[in-house]
Amino acid sequence: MLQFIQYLKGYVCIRVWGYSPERFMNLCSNHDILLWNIENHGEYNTMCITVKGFKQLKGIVRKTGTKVAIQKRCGLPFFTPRMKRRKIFLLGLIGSLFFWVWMSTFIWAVDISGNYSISEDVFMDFLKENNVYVGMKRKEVNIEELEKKIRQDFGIVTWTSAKIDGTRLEIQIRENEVDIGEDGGGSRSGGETAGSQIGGSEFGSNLIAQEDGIIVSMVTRKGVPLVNVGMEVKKGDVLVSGSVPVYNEDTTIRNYQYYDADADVYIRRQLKQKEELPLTYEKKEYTGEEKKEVLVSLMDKELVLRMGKIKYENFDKVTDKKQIKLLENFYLPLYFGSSVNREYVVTDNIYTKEEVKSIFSEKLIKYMESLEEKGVQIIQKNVTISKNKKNWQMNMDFQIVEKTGQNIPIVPQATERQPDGNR
Amino acid sequence: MMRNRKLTGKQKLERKKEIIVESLKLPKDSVLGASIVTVTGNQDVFVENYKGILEYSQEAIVLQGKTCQISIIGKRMSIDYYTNEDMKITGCIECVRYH
Repeated sequence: MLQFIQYLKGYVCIRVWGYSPERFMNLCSNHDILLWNIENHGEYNTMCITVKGFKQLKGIVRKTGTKVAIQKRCGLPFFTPRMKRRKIFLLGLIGSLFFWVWMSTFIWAVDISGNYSISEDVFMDFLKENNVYVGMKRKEVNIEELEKKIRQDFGIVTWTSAKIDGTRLEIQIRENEVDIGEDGGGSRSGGETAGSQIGGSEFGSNLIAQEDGIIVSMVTRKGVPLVNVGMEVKKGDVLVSGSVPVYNEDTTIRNYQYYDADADVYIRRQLKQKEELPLTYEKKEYTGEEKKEVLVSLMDKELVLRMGKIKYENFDKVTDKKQIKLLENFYLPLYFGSSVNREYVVTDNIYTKEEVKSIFSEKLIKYMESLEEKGVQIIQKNVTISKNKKNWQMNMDFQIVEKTGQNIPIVPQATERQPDGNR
Repeated sequence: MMRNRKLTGKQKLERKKEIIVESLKLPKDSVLGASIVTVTGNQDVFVENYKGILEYSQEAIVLQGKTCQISIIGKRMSIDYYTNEDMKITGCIECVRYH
């Protein structure tokens, strides 16, 4: 710290010789002139003295009969005039400083985290549509607007947070896990949404079957059940009617009250599924030949440095690219990386029976898992694998129990409607 | 004779001063003008309360204190800094002598 202050103020290293250097030092200290690094070299002494002190030396030198010569000038006051002469260097220094400051006003990287079902590409496209892109001005990013827009456009996103960290735009999102389930939720949640949409309808809604099958269990909460357990239903049949008749004392219908029919109806039905696999397949075999290359890219332009040409007929290219950053968060629009081109040969292979079996069983397990996710219960399954001239086939016959029922708004018939009804 | 008496008078005064300082437990360096020499290991010497340098070479530094002379003898000695109040000497210290 002390040295830094001395550097800022500037000091000189002097050589003192003559009759009595000791007296010179004593007088200096009496005049409150700081001396340091005093070294005795026999005939002369060297020491450091502040610039201010050096200017007061004249009288002391005359009194003591010593001679003083400057050996070295150190510090900022001596450095700046020297710099003034080197104008171009100074210009470059200032220029680069301005350049960095200017560069730091742009966004050079966009980071997205927390996205599981929305892919990064989709998100980037969305950002591009909303005029958020790499290379834009930092000031132009309207974070609140962006957050709002993300929540609006992606219904699945429940929470967003965007922040600018240096030259990087960090977007964190959280997706709704329940919403993900809805896509695969099948009839049940579909029915629920339909029901909720129809909730406001004047005449209520009926619950109709979505598939053919035999009813195995039924619990009605609202409406008049029109089917029983054990009955066979066809697709489109009304299971539960939303129009509930109100009877007069003489058992004639007085009028109808309308509700949204609500019931848990489970049906058993057959589910047939077919999977196919060609007899032959193409297989990549790497020959082991590879060619490496180095690449540098600035924005969209790419510069590839490679020895010779790639003479391979088929090859895979694996590129590893890194963005250059200064310190932690100052990302620059400059990438460098390397890629490897690996040659491969395509060979036609024929599936063996074992391979086919393992592929099909994997597919079967996946399919069954997807069924179970939908809440479908598998009672029986019958899977056969056969081979014909063209391909392998897997026929899957399942007996399943699943929930059914879809709310369809009631279209009132003229006879049903009473002039004073619907209260 | 006169001179002798004066001297003894001065000495008496000194003695009295010392007794007072002792009994009042005052700091000796500021009241009596005693020099403080702090030696760290055999490399650093830190001196306060002196009047000036009498002699300076690599082998010996003689300082004029307010009451006596202090000579510091050693090898390759140099003065790190030198002000009105204190100074620091570095080098290989062999002996500190008062006379």
